[in-house]
Amino acid sequence: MQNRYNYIFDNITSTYNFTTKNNILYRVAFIVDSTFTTISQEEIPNVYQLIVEKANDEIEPLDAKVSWTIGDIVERFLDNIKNSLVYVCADIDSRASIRLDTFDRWYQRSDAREKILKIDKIIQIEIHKEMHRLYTSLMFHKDNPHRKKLISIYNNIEKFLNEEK
Amino acid sequence: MKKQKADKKKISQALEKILTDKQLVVSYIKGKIPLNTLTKKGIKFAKPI
Repeated sequence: MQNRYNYIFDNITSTYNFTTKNNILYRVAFIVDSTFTTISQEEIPNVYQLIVEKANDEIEPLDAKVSWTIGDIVERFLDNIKNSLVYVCADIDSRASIRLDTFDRWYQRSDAREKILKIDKIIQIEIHKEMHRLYTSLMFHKDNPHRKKLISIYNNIEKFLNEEK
Repeated sequence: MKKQKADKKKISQALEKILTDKQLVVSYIKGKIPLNTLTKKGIKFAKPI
């Protein structure tokens, strides 16, 4: 068992919370996401967006236990094999790629790889006439009944958006 | 070609929504907006593990 912080589910905010040794409060939220349903025009249930954020704007010293804690929450969430997760960071956030790298490091070093599949894609998207990079991850249990559909839709997102106009 | 453009627009809008939802939830987590703002936007949290 890797070293991690204890966390609790806060019924008021509907988030998983933990406090680090530096007294920084993290909140982890899973919100219902309809992107895959919208794009495929068929019902793809149990897709959620993962959102991790500090409750305040304090500077965060490097703390490996943070990613292990978030990883543990994700792993438990995906113990329900029907659940799948999208994690998205836009380049508007200067720490986007760092956050994704940190998350990936957890995944690569974790036993979770035995049961959870994670696929990463960088997607170019035009927002208000400006091109942006989205750093994205799709995660799901290897026994997820919608596994093939999820992969196919995720691949199509990249295919359509990265096509020439 | 028209269908491809429609698909591209649909996907762009869906991805924009992901980002908008995320920004709203981050604001909520930081205590800048109330829960009912999320509710009005149709954002729903998953049930506890």
